[in-house]
Amino acid sequence: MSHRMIPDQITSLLLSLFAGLGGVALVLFLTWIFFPERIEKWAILLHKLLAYVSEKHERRYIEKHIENGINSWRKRACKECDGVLPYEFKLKWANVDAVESELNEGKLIVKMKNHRNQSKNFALAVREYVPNTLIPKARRYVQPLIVDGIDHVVSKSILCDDTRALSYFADMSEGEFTSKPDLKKIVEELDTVHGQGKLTRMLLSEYNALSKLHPSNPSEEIHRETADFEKLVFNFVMKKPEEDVDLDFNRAHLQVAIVAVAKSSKLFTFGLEPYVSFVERMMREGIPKFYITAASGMIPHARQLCERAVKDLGLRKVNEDEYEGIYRQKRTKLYCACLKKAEASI
Amino acid sequence: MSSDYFDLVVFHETEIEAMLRKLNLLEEVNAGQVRCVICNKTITKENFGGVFKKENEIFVVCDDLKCIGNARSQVDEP
Repeated sequence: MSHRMIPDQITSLLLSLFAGLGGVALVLFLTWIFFPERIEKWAILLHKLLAYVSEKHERRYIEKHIENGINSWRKRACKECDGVLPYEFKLKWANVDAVESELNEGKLIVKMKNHRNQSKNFALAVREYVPNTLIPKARRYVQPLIVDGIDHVVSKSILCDDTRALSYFADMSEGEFTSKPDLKKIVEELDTVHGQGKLTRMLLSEYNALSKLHPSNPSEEIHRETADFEKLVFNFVMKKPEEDVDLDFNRAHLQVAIVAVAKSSKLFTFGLEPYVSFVERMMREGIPKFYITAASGMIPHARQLCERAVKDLGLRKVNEDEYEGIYRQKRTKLYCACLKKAEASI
Repeated sequence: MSSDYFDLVVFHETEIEAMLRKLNLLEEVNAGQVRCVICNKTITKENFGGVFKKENEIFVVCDDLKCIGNARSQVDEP
């Protein structure tokens, strides 16, 4: 081998290295453009690894892990129910040297444990966030027991991928269930409603509309109405085949009807006409808002019903979603659309 | 809350002594004289959970999630 080849070989090696690094950089850049959440997750993982050797990275890990966990759930929930969690979560490290001035601003400053106890930190952050941000203007008009129940179910949903955090949260809840036995029953009902995807899409959507009453004082009447609406949604979710349950709710503040496109025999014999007639009748009775629901094979028919309702009955589509949920104890594709009269206010 | 964010202000557990020293509470906590404003448990450096100020008085809360939740409603009350 001649000495002239060695610089050539080094140059060639360096060029290949840069090409390789450039390729990696290009992949990372494209991933950042199209899948920013993935880059964020990798960054959090990197901070976690470095947390064992660097306090700065440990704080970044604690901060970003919790923010990502809460805000990604919030983003999905707000697609299902607009404005359900209007505030994004931010974790701020207090300046201990200036702690007095932080306290003078009326802030509660809480402890974060070492990153090895991150599950406890996560549970604490969720426990602080949910009751203070979930339908903030409307929650006082919902029956307090139901609000507590919804806070529980939403918190568990945010924590569900972290079994230790969920376990810590559940242990804390046991104490609350002991002092409020009705709360446990409500949480079980709401868990079922949430399993079918109706907690955000239906229940919270309607409750959130009550923010129009803000800042008036809540009454016994409105609390009773919200409790009865929860029962209607729960009974609908638990409905057995061929069982008749109330599908319309026409009271002072909440006026909605649920149209379940479910009976294939009815569809086969009469088409969409019975469903269209039901919607027309409900509209004559003063109901301006409808939830069209269906499961698996019925979904295309439900979509057709929505199109008919928009075209022929003057309704407009507020929201439409196809998703997976638990229906008759099986995980299956579900559909839920919200339609309302064009002139009705939310 | 700032206009678009719910801010959770926190400190790291390694800063507990520095915090207590700044608030002139370190000696009292070491002497077992400070109690949780919610559950009345004696506060130690291990169970110190949080702190807030109301009407010029500093209140300490333990690290029980229920107590922290109740402390927040006291802070939010006008």
